[in-house]
Amino acid sequence: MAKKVLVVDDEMDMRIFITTLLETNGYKPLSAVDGEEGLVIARKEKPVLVILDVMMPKESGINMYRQLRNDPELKEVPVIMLSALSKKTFFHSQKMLDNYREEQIPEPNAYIEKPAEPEELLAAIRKSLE
Amino acid sequence: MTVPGKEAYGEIPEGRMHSGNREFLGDMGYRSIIDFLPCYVSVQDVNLCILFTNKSFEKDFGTGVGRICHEVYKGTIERCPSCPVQRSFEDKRVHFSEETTQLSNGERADLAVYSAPILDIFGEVKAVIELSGNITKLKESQRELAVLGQSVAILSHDIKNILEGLQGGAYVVDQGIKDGDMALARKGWDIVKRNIGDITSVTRNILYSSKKRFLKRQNIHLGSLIDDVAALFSERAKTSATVLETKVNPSLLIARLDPSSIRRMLNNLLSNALEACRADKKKHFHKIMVRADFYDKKHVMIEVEDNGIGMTNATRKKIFEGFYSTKGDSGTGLGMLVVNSVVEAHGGRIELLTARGKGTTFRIILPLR
Repeated sequence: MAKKVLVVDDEMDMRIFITTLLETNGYKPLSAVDGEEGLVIARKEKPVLVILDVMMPKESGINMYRQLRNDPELKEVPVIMLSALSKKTFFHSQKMLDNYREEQIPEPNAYIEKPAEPEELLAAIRKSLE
Repeated sequence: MTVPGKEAYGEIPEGRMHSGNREFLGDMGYRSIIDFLPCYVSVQDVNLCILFTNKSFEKDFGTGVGRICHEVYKGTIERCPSCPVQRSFEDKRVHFSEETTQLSNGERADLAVYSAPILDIFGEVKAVIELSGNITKLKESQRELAVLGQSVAILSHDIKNILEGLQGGAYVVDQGIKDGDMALARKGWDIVKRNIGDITSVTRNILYSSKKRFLKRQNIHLGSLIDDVAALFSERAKTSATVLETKVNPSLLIARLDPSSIRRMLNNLLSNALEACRADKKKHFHKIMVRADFYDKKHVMIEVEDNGIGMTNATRKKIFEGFYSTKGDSGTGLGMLVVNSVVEAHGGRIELLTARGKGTTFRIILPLR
């Protein structure tokens, strides 16, 4: 059976792009429009990988990532963060949140800055699932 | 009120003056030079009571002598926390601060304030001289630069997102063609077209707001213009399950407006309305209504009403500032700035009715000619 990969992005264009990319490469894509919906689906479907946009309305990708990592059943699931936000800004905000909430959240498996090449994204997906 | 004598201010005795200076000054003396200095000069005692002012000071702040510095400059009974004069009294050094004041004509002014101690023969601070330059213009351009810096960051973020859409769309088209799946190719092509539309809109907004534009008023039929713009959005409305309707009073025939800027304005209003509907996940039914009708005999009214997410108070206050955007990924915040400048250029006004969770109505009122 094809491996389930969850795509969380508020932009419809991005969801179509990434789900097509996954489908044509032998994965079974699931999609969600925000972090809230993403968590519900992740808990129910137990995907092998999550591809997560950082900036979304309602529950942001930053928060969803931290919740995934704090969930005993999902904390081992690899996560690829995808965003127009620069890598530096993202990691800085993670560090600040770690200090503020006195948590130690590990870094995501990959962080890809938009615009991402299909090949780059595919390579990151394959590497995360090794 | 005793005004200290000449020697207290350290006036140079005539005998020690350079002969060239003496020749130039003639009967005028240093006083007239101080009077005409293009900055405000005052001398204050330890209680910040003003002992002397120059003419420039009097011109903009009225009579100062005998009054307290902060009362004259700011109309307040409290000392400024950053007061440089007090510091010069304390440590006999030159100090600097930036202050915002109100001129006697009511205008606000930003001042760069320098203070320097005037010492008596025992080396004690007898008074402090304060010299303030008006830097309002400089501060304004400083603020504009800050906005510009911010805007470049937001713009590049937006453009990255659009590029992503183009690249993603192209990939989906490729896959569709490769697999002979025309439905998939079609889906990808729609993404490409949508993102071309977005980049076009962003580019036009940048051009619109970065140039000083002159209106080209023409006799236009507002109804057909509104229908035109609405047609451009019908596809986008459909994909986000929003009904888009127009209702134009048929007797509203000719108005003298600049068609390209009115088009730009409507484009931005509709784009925002659509975003507001998309962002609202609570309601199942979304509708955007564009109306045009007479406001009175001399004015036309265009309304764009949506039942989307509505604005918070904070948003409402900020929307007309350039580059303010709530949309994160999908807005440059230039849109409302453009709307505002189009309306202003036409000598019209904007009314805004909005409630969080309920929706927003923009009403644009423009003179018919």
